[in-house]
Amino acid sequence: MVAPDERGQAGHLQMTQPPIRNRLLQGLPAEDLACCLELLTRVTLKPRQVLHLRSMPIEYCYFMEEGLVAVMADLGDGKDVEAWLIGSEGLVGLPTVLGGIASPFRRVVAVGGIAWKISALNLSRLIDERQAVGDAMLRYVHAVTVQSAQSGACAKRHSLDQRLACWLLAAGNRLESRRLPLTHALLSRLIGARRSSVTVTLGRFEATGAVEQRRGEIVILDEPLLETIACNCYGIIKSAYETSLRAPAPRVPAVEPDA
Amino acid sequence: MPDYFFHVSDGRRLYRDDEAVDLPDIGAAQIYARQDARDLVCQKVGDDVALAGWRILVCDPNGRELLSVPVLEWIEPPSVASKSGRDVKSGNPTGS
Repeated sequence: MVAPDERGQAGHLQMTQPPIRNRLLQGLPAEDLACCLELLTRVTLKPRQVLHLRSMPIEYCYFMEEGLVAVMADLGDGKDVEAWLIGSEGLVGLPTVLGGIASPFRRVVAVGGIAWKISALNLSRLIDERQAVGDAMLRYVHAVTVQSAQSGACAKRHSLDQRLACWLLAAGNRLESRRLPLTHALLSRLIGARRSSVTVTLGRFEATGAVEQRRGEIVILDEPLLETIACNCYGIIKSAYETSLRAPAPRVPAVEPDA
Repeated sequence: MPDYFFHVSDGRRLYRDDEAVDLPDIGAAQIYARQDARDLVCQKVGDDVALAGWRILVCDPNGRELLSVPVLEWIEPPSVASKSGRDVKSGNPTGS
């Protein structure tokens, strides 16, 4: 049986529970969602808060509601680089879903927000005990795999304009907002370009009317225009996540040879 | 360590750096500006415009310009160009 999480107060949660914005949780059947909620604690995430240390056992996983968590890769030069961002579409703690204990990545809050926290132990048990939860997690893993591979290919071939437009659109999706509280320094680490190159490229986007830069944030003014600048990697990754959120059609049972 | 701002000018427009970098001294700021210049070229920033005339302007927090580094400066530094010229004349291949 699943053990109650720390501070998990099922009744209290259900009485006062705000609407759920995490798209993985939203996609669960009501009965499975209710089981999850009994084990989830709503927590605030502060900017620069470290959720997972590199190579250390993962104790808690987080279904993101608001804000962004950066998955940081170590490239061996003493400087971490953001590999990808997790927002309301996802879960911080993929290794747990796959039965892993730890991962080589650090996970740090890039944009403060809110998440549903669950112990890794309880998440593993939920996945084992409730097929709908396990299936949803595996579809999510597939989307993340598509994103990782596509982003890697994108970084090899596509221009800074294309990649930056891609990241802005992706961040907007994950934050469910056109106002992106992202610094040029963060974007430069995500994209693998110097900050000044990002600043000039954003300035050029601004001149076309695609975005506006305000103090501490970038605002997407014309999403369709930004989509025309972005490479098609954005569409491929977006489509992978959208597909992952849809429950699959029932499978036709295989015919048993002896049946 | 002092803050240095690295604005970019394309000759007509200034792309302002609002975040700044802490660096030990102006020598480190010059190296940083040259790395910025190299990235602007490598990333093909503004790929429909020539980068001739573009400059990295290194400023202090009061907006005072401390250095102006041409973006294309690093491609053909005069000393390297003349050295490779001598190698070609003497028939002394530098590659392979």
